[in-house]
Amino acid sequence: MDYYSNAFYSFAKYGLYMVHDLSQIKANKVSNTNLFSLNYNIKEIIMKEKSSSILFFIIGIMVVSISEVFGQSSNDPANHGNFFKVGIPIVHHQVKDALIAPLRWAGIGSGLGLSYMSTGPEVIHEVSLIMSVSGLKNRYKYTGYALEVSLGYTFSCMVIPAVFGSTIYLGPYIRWDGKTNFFKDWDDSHIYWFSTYEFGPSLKWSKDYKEKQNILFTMQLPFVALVSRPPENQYIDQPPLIKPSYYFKSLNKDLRLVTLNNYFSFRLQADYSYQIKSGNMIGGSWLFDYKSCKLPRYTFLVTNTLMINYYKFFGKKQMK
Amino acid sequence: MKKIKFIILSCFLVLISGFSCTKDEKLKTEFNIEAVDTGDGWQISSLASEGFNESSFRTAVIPLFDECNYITATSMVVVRNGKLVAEAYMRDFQGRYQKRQIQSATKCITSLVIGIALEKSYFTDLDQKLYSLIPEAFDEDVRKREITLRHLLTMNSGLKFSNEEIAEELFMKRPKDINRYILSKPLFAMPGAGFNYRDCDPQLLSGAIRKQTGLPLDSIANKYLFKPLGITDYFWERNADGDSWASEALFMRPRDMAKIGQLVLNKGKWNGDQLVSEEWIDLSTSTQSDPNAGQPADKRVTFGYYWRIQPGGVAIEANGSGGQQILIIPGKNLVIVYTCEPYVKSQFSLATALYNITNSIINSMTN
Repeated sequence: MDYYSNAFYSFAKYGLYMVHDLSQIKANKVSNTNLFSLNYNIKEIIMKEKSSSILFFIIGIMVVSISEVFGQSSNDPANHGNFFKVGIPIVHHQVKDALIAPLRWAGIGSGLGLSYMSTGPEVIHEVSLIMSVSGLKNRYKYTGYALEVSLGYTFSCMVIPAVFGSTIYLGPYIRWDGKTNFFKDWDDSHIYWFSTYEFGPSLKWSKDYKEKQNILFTMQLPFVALVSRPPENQYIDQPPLIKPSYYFKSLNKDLRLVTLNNYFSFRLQADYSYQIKSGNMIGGSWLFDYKSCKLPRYTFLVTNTLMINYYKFFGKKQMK
Repeated sequence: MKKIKFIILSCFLVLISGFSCTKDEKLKTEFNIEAVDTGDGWQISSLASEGFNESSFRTAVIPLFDECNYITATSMVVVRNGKLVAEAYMRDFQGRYQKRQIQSATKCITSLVIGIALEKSYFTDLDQKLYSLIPEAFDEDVRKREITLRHLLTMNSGLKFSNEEIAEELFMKRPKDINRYILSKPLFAMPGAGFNYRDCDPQLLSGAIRKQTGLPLDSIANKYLFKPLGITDYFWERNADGDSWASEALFMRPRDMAKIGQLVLNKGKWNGDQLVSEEWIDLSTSTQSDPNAGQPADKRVTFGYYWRIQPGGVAIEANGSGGQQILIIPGKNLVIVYTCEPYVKSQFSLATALYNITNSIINSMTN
């Protein structure tokens, strides 16, 4: 446990350095910046402010934090197990975007959820991908669509062992959420995207029941994020449907580094799994995603996802 | 005990899910039409002082705050006798500071800039051939070399390039040389054969003006039009070539749109300065094309150089898709500006419905 405490301390320390670094840049290099509007065009930071170290620093935090802990956890490979999860989500999507009209657009959709998890006695590595398509409608029956892709990696190490029947894990996560909205009747000329790269702490709470059941709660809150949004005035930026690469380019256009002042997001997730036979489990997930951003004008997205999952285990030891 | 825990947990999740259903807030603001002095050059006056019955006026414009029929309306500015008497921003009180996409009303600004360019002798006259200005953009079809500036101002080039094709080809394929791309289209009629509403003709003017002045259309507009009018916050998008989109890519504040209207009403004068020649204003806002020649005179809408002229010349309009309008009513010394959501499908457009509001505003006048 000492080792994990040290790792957590290191992680926190680097986080503070990062905040300090941002403050220094803000104070010394970015003039005329409102105290509460800390946002940078990432290109400007790299090209003009010559502070690419921030980006490398963020990546460094992850690498250092992970590598410091990872070495310890791999001592006992006999305890390792991996599983693959496939889920069918039912998504309820809500969006308000002042760039188009501050109306509530909401609708239901579905898609596919995939996840690969590698578990050790005290660490968990998880890569997950959720893709969905939802139909949208506002109160005037104007229709639209929402396309969502969420790709993330979470590293979790045990901070409180299963002394009282439950286990708490803590670690960093990094995630890309690409959310694209088409407002078909209201604006059929443009797409309105909300793309984010998030980095922050992830907290997991796991509890086993009767050896065959498990409940896992996850909460993720970003420290920092890179956000891409459409420009306030857009005319010819019409979606060339003939070029699918356009969407990826748009979702990564003019990425800006944001903090809690102008971007707030969190994810809550609850997973229930039940072992039906050796190496196979079924279960359900509930995922709540909230995102709001003030760039370039206020927008927010709320997504509730219910998912039916099937788990297939690999590895030397299967989880309970 | 475990069952209770499970029930509590389930209730918690259901509650969070339930609370996450966001409110569908009112879209329109409270009724407010008060004109405010923002220091942008407009003189403010009251409705009563400028000859309106205030009560009737209020009744006339109330529908703009309606969340049903006029849901997409975003702003209205009314100027009479050169004074701003009422303004409304139905979505957001800060709307007066927000630029709106004025769509095809952009063409009328292009028309004003062409008038300025003629006066500054960047062009010899309206019968100057486009070929003499941008020969490198022409293909081997010699008939196209007959296209003149006048043909482009009256949408008479004869090029077979509809607005739907423009949306698909220019904005999605994004050709490198737009002038050459437009001029590579075949002729469906000889240049000058007949009016055909389209975006490609103004766009060729944008190419011509850049070639002659060395500056894109928007820079010329800024130098000779916007700056003298005190219009500083605008956005005019350019294509990949660096030419301004001359047909529909200008974003302006509603109050600044009203300045354009007042300039035309004043025959090109603003604060005593002649920004655009009176001759050009008269020429460009009088009938140059009559596409509805078969209709009765009292219902026949004609076109000047991109300006739309109501029957009998009672009103001159810069019109844009969705319901963007700069209405100039010389007989009443009146300018009205409307902006709406610019990209809604045609069935939701307020372009026609706004005439009802205009008629009610005119009827609220006491003199």
